[in-house]
Amino acid sequence: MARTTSLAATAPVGKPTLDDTLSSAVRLRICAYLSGCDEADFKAVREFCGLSQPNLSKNLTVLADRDYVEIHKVASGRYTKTRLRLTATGQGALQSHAAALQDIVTTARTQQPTS
Amino acid sequence: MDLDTAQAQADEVRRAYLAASRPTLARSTCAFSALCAGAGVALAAQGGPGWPHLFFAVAAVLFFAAAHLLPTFARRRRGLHGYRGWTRTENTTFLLVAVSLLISGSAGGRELAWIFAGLGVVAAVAWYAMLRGVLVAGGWARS
Repeated sequence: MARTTSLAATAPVGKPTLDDTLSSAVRLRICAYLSGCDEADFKAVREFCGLSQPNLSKNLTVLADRDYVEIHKVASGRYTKTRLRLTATGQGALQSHAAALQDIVTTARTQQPTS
Repeated sequence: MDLDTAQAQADEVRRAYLAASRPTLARSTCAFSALCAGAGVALAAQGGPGWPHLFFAVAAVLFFAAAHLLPTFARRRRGLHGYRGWTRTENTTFLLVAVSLLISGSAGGRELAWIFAGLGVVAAVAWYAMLRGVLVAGGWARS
């Protein structure tokens, strides 16, 4: 059996709702990627999402404004790296959004007429 | 939101989560890590009572550590730090299994040595499959 999203399995109690911020496919992708690790480098997220630096920055600003993602710098030798972290608020919103998506899929499938 | 969009987004969440928690690593890294995991299990019950067994037990601990740290460092090189969600639970489970094997290996006699060697082969295959993203707790990951 295919593994359903583990996020949906741990969704908060109550009716899950779709999140407006995560309605954007790019922002959903960023949050889902960050939910698989404690922290990720900016570069890793950019490569996974296939976005340009300004585009990712713009989306991260939206997520950071909603307190979904935490952005901080860490020293790495002579350089500094930008690290991204999904906050508890972001994790909750993602879980709720994923559970709502699963609900839509399940409801639509049960309502489909059997031929 | 229609069914297709919801399904596509739900799949995307799953794919993105797996890409960060268990990124597909190089075959060589997976194979070496799997060898370490298998060797750790096989060595847990080797050696006679006393110092010989202690030597093998310490070697098993080192192999277990290497089996965990190799993919962790490979992940870190890709810019992914720490584990979260299912993967953290998997790691905790593997730690508990390793401790249980070490305890049962030390309590058992020499007759368990062959059984542990066989278990080592099974552990190596399962570890390799997990690292390659074929087998994870809860089902088939990248199907």
